[in-house]
Amino acid sequence: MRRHTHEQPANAASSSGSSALKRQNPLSHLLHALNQPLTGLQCSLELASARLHAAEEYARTLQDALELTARMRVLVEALREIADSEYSEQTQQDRVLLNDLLSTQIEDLLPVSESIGVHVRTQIGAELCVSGNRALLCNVLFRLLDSVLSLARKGSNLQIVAEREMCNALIRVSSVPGSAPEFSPYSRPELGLLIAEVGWEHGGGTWTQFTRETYQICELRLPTMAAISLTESTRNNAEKEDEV
Amino acid sequence: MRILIAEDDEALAKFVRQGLEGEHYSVNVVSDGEKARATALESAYDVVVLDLNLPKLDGVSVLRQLRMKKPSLPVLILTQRTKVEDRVQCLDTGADDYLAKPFSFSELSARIRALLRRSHLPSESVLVVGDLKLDRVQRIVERAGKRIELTGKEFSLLEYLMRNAGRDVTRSMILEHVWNLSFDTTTNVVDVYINYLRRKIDDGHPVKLIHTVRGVGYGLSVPAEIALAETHA
Repeated sequence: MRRHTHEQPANAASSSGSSALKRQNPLSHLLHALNQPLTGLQCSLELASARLHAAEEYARTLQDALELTARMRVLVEALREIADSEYSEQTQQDRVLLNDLLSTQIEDLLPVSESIGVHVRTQIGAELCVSGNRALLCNVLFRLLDSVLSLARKGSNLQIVAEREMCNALIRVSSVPGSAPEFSPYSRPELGLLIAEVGWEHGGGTWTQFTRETYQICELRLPTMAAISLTESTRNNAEKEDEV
Repeated sequence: MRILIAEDDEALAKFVRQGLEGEHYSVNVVSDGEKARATALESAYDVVVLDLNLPKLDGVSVLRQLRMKKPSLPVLILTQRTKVEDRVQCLDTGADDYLAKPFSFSELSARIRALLRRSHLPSESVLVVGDLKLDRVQRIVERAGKRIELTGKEFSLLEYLMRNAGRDVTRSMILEHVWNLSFDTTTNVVDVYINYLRRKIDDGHPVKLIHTVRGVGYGLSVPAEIALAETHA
């Protein structure tokens, strides 16, 4: 499994949530997390079948079992998506305008941000032409925004910046998290962020996550087409010189 | 309605069978690919629920052979895989729908209902449900003759609901068809858009067309009593 060293800005606090999970082998963490609901499920069913109970008790046991199963489904789905990302090859590469893609995803989620009272501020200026799998990038950006919105504090600002940073396209999403969700750090939005992070890195990008003051910040970088062309042309020139 | 289930996991097949029989379908279960192919080709089924990982003959091979002999037989694929590429490959091979394990029975049931009525899906460019009209080519929506402005996503959502008018669609189905997402979102994006759509489509009209189906998702239809009254009129 590929691991990245995340550089953090000097004044940033240590990262938490999905990034913390990721650095410690997400698959093993998620498998471990499965044990808890699975044990709960096994014990509750064993107890229910050990002796006769009143009908209401059976109903309560079944309801508990359904809730535990729902938790297990969330974990299993995350495991599967991460394993798929880690071990699959991305063959199709498209020329993608990342700024346009991001704008579309933001626009789609604006009604959601309105409904939960999160104010979205965007600053998307430059044209960010990158090479990547369009479907993967769409999924990653949607997951990122969807998860961040779910975790954001009601009434807070969500700032989204997309700009060129030397050879990279940079997307910076800054949000103010609300209280920790149930089953943190294995809640659905936190797992969503983790899946987005793994997907983004699988697509050739780097993902940095850190906290600064009250903000949780995700920085996503992907080389621009211009940078890729420049690298390839430099490599070709070097090869030609070697041949000479 | 007859349903064939090709699933090698006996416990899962048993639960699915019980559930579907409880909904008054006639259900047959086979546990390997060769039996699935033979049974589906020999008898008349309305839907085949086909697991991809079957012994003796894998689900994709079964599907290919079914498609050659019975191109219009609706097939719902059950699989362990969820990647978009896997879904696309299954649909390209001829599957009508695709459901990843683990799934809930209500999700499976809703998808089977949708498949059973898919052959009746409207293909015309103008969709009409009661006094609601949607022109897919000119991208115009009107209710009771009054034009309604929708965003792109709202239009796609309404189109999907109208194409499936009269039956329930789950949130997952909406996410797949309208947002092209193969995962559940963490925000309530579908519910939010449905609310927006409700305000634009149903507010101010005595007859509400968009319905919440508890535990399943949503549906769009003219209420039965109104439809009946219109038929008699």
